[in-house]
Amino acid sequence: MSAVLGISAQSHDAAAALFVDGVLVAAMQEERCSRIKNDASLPIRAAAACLAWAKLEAGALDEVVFYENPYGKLERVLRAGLRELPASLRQLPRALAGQLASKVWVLDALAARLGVDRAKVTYREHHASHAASAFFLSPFERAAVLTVDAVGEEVTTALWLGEGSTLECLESIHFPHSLGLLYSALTAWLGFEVNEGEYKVMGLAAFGRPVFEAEVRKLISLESDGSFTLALEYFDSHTNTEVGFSKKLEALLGPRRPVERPWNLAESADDRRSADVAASLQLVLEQAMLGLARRAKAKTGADALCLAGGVALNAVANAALASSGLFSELFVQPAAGDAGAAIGAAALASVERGYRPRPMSTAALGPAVSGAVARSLAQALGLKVESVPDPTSSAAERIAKGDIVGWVNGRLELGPRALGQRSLLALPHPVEVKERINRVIKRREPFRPFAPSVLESQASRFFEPHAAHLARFMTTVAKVKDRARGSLEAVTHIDGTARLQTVLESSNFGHLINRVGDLTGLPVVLNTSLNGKGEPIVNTEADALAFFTTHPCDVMFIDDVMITR
Amino acid sequence: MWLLGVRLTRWARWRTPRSTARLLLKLAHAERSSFYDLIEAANGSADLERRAQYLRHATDEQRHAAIFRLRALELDPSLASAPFHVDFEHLFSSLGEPRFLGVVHLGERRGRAQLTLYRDELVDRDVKTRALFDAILKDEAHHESYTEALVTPAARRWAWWWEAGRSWRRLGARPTRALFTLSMWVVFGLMAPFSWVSRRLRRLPTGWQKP
Repeated sequence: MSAVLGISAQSHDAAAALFVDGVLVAAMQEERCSRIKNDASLPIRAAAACLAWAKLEAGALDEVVFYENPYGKLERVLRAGLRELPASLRQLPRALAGQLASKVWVLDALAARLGVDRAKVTYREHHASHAASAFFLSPFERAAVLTVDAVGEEVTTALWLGEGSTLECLESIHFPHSLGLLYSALTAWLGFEVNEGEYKVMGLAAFGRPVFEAEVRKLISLESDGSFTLALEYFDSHTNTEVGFSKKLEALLGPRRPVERPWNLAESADDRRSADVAASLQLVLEQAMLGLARRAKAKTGADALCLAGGVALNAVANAALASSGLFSELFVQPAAGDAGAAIGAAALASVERGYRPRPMSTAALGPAVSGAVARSLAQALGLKVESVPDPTSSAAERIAKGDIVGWVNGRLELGPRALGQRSLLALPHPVEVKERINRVIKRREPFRPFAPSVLESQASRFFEPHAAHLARFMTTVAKVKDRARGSLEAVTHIDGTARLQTVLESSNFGHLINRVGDLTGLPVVLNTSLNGKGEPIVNTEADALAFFTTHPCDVMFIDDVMITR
Repeated sequence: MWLLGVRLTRWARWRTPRSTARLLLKLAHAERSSFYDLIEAANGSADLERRAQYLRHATDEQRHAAIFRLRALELDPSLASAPFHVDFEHLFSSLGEPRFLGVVHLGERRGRAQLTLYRDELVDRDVKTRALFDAILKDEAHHESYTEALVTPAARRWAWWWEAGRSWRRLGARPTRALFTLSMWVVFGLMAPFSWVSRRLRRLPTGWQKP
């Protein structure tokens, strides 16, 4: 038997992933245990949950693999900080304190806290972990692989060729030239939190026109060979990691949008201007990604493309790649950010041990919930509890009635998307549903769209053609067919697209959607993650009940228990 | 002794809307941090009844954090961008349930005394903030009483010493941080020539690089 545990941590969104004989048996983000959004601390509890699921003791692990080279990272931080002296004088002591106090000792800390022999704890390179998370978990035998994020040890973007059990890095682009850092800097300029607000920028972009393309192109030069170069005078990542842009960028685009100022795209010229900048950034990002994809095609000649790294979470750019026709098939690691790199690190070690992983068919890799526990807790909280023999039908009936339903069923998903395990569900129309969830329950920006989940067999009724491998994990968008827009108005974004999820009828979630279809004639539900503002997606029965008692959703289903107030 | 300290700093607390807002934001952070420890307990305790009690307590803390923050931003909207520091200490998993209860009970008792004092200081000053303290104090009284019923005398004594140790460590962290910063400045002073050399001799790589 070969048991390998992958770990990502200390940057953002720490996670653990467990492979047994090449099979990905469990994976989980630490934030889901600690309840701290994007928790970067060592994922000891997530690792324990993975081991518990597989009924393994830590001592039985053959290898624990960290997802990046801690010494390489220290070298880059030190070198980059020194280079920028004296501008980095404030930032460097903080960065070095973090590196020297804990990050550089991460392998020892993992051995001690997991209780495994230090010799079993190894590391792989950051972008190799990302690449493996995409290629080895994809359905392809041969593919080009692009990994695009802010920065790993030194690399920010890499082009790989995956063939069978081999993964070869062909070329890479190095720090500080980074699409991730460009996107983060403008995310901060738009008043959002870095590493959290990037999705908001993508949603906002649809409300704008790319009239600032020329300005954004001043920040980044896109070369004919697919590479790119940042104009570094507009960035400030060495001296201010919280915003990452310089005063020169504010001189170019105007002052930063105040953090948390309410959005009013209908009446505020400033907000519309912000949307125009977001649209321009999105356009330039798509141009950059297409340039990288053309390079990948030229270098590898592969028919398929795999993507990972934080930038690969941009579903709109993924859709542009899919529709470009450069590659016949596309796969994006559903947890494309650093959480998924834990999978990749472990996949690399598994392959080295002779076990090539199988394609990833589900992201439901975390712990499951128990109806019995939920019942006891809910009763103690004074809530109304009812056992339901067929929770999918009962939930479908409530959704068809117009209720907003909390749905906690089976194993927790890995990655940023709720895919029908820990979801808030509703009918995909009328548009007031969206307003109610956005403003009252999730209390988020009014421009942010919701996703539809649809039976895979019925998707073509409502949506234009889309990349099948991506839609299963909600990593792409598709045009909503004109005739379907009226019935899907709560899940159709202003640009006529939707970030759809296609669901197999054989799954529990598929049964639920099918039943909604029987009742309403529309096998589609609005599906958004079950979490409050600033919180991670719920994990346990207690988390779900904490959500239910503090948010006005109508009913909560946890396993086979229906809970109302 | 501790309450005396709180009383002596009264002049600074309610001086301006901004100082009040800062205090409320600090309280929001404390309540939010407490939420994390309680939700950990709600997920970890072996006893379902206690799990429910921790869960209810956790949701109270979450609500209090939201209320404090909302009022703080009403008083000073510029604090919206203030960073949120989570002080999640993993008390349940690191101390075990009996000692966890000791620490929580002690914290609740002190918290209630502190909030009562704040509320009393606000008579004739700021009716809105005072009403907020009134509402929260009802929950705090419940938290104090349910933890009192669960905590053992030994855990209560232990918690007192543990808290004293934590305060001492926190006190020590400040000069340590200052010393670290100072020593780093000295180190960077010595490294400055290397910075110059690095800039002169090694250009930043651009474009595609071979592995």
